Amino acid sequence: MSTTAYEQPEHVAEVVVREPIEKARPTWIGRVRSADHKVIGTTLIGISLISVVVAGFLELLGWAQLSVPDNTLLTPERYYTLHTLSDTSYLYLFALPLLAGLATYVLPLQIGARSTAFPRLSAFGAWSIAFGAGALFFQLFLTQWQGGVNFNTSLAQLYYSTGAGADLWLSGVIMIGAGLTANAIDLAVTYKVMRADGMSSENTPVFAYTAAVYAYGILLTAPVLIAASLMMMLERQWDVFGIYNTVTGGDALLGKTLFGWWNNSAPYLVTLLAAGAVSEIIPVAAGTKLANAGAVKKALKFFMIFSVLSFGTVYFGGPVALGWNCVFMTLGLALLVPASVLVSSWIQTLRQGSFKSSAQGHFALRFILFFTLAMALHAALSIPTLGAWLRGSEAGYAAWHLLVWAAAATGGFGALLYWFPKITGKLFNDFKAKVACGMITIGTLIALLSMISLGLDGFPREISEYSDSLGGQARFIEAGLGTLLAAFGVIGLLINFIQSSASGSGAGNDPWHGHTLEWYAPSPPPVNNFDVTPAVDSDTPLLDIRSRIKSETAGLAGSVAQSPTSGRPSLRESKH
Amino acid sequence: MQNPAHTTLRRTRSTALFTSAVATAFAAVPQVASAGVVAPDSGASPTGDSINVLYLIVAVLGVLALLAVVASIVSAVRSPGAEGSDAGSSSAKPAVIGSVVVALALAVLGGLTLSGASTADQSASGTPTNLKVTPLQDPNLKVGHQVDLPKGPAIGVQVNGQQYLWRYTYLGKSVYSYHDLVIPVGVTVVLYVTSSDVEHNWWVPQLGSSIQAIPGYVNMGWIRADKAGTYNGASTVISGTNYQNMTTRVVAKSIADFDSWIENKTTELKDSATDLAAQKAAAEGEAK
Repeated sequence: MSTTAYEQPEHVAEVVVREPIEKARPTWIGRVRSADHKVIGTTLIGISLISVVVAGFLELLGWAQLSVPDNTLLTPERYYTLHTLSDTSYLYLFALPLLAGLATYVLPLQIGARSTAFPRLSAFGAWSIAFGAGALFFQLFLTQWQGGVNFNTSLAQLYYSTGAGADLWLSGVIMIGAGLTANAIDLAVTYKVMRADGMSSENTPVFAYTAAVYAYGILLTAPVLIAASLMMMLERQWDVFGIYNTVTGGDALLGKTLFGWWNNSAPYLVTLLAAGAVSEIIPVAAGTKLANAGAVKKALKFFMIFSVLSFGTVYFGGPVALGWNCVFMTLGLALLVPASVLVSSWIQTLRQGSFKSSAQGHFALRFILFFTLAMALHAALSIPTLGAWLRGSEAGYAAWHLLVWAAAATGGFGALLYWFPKITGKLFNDFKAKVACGMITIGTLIALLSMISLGLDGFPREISEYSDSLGGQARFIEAGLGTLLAAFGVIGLLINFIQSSASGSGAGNDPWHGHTLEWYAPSPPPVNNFDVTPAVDSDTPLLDIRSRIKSETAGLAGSVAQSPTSGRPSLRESKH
Repeated sequence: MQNPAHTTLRRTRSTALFTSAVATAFAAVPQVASAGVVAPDSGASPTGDSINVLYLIVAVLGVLALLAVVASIVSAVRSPGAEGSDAGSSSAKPAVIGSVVVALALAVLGGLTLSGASTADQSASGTPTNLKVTPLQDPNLKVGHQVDLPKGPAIGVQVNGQQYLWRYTYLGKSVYSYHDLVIPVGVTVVLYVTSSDVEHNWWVPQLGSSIQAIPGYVNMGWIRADKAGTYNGASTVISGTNYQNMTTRVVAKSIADFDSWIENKTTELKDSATDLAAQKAAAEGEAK
């Protein structure tokens, strides 16, 4: 193993970068055996990018079915199967793995760590999610679970759902839940113990902080999903326990509570991580510090807390007393406070800096739009009478889709583009990515608005056919066409990813002039990320170094002052 | 370099754009509201109307917030940057105060409508009839959401969801029906919603009612149709492979029509019971 020392200005600690000992692209077996958080992260991102194609295809089949009243393209049975699988893929296989994968990749780099605390745990998590996906799709060869992504324990009783479908769905979800939990333990501990010297909690970059908050959110909710699913499987195998089944002395409300605890929080946890990434992208795109950084972190923390606590909205229209309804309403509406702090801070950041147009910046701006829309719908769903009315309608489905698709896609793809040069060492095609961003935004917006309108017109969220007299056809077609446009955008983006990672121009270490430590490492980072990290005394260490160099080299002409890493030769060719 | 006149012009233009968009939104909302395109289906019952109003309030606030966000993003992105001159002015306080005010206002409104929805119309007005609610008493069912019984004329109906239809039992009368809930116009109908198999949801959008039907529980709710007519709805919870058949229909009739419907139904049910008994007797006789 060879090490190379580069000359540095004396105020920067000596940087020793070890040559990568593994090939940048691990083989399949290398990928399975790897304990490198970067390989684990890209595995999760890979799972997510494959899943989004599958989920989108299934969703489009569903819209095709609904484009004609009383359509017979799909039998109701088939439709519910595809619908359930599509929704499950969006939440469990696209949104959560994409953002968890990015967090796994970026968190150690941002906090100046050489690895995560328990990389094998995260590796187990990633492959557990992959096997969970296998179990979910294996249903297609046997019987299928048709009860939707928000699991319904009374329908899942063996008497009403025979065959292995529900069992496969539950075991898939258990594996994915276990994978997310394992990954969350790793993220939380990494954040706690592996931060670089001088990185106090207020000096932690906002995305790293969000990753930790997300991890605690997962630890609060995913184990409940696992326990609830295990109990459901027990009850299906030996129906004597009386857990959820009223007939054997169980309680259907228990199932609603346990699954509701997870089902309500999961989409918000996805949005939380996306919001964290956007809080990183926007300041860099605007070339300034994040406004109200301390308040933003607090807002992200309370966003997690209130999104978990707003689970009581699943009871609206159901068996809860008036007083509890009011408590749940207040907890739900409380989410508006951290959300508006986030939005106003992003806007203030944009106002203070000067926005340099880039694809990831475009995605981040679109995220703000969808986030605001999602919060407006969240407010409507948090008011008991209105929430009960909307939740089961197509508008309630739109609210769900806003979080697990629109927010996850704009925030998640934006983040993926932002860190793409770091992950691959290549630059993507900015123009094509912007076109894809436009297509995804417009298509999603059309689909969502049509869905909201259908919901207000009295169409329920999971409907396999409708009669012509109800007059929803135009809007169903619109929703389908919008989804199709977004799907083309996604395909374009994926092609862009593949082409650019194969033949894009070299990105260098710091193409965006980032603020945080991941841009200090080479692209892609070597196995151990850093040998030495610079002194950290703010949440934007690279910005500090850059301004220090700028002030010390004020008399000198040249581009040295551009970036702390551009002064030294990169391991790879650097073209800015 | 920033031309101040240019900036002012741009600001004026974006303000004008913003104002006209808001005005258009306000003007457009009430016109299409009843169409169920931009606001919930309503116009037939007090609960439906209150939900419609609540939705419009949230929607207008949401649209305003969205427009404000879009406008400020556009202006922030277009302006070349204040380069530190504004740096000291950033604060999260206005956002906190603003959102707390909005959240509290929505909570108060939500609480008011909720108490309305939980207390069946207490005014003793309406057509004087001798209709009274006979409460459902079933020791096997846990009581979930409760509603204060009305003082005025009212009837009680047990709504039972079962794969894949609704059974309506008129409490205190020996009448039941499947699929259609026939109700008298202007009379409060107290619903006792339950399920005998899997979870369902009794939803009639225009009557503003969405009540969970959970096995083992009885959730109360109430509706009142102020206009005669047929109101359609659907269950919102997938209940199995024929879930699409799990539709809801409420038929509101004048009180006289309702009374005669009850009478006809009673005779019909009695006749069929007699017929059944006769057939049974005949079958038993043959068997002997």
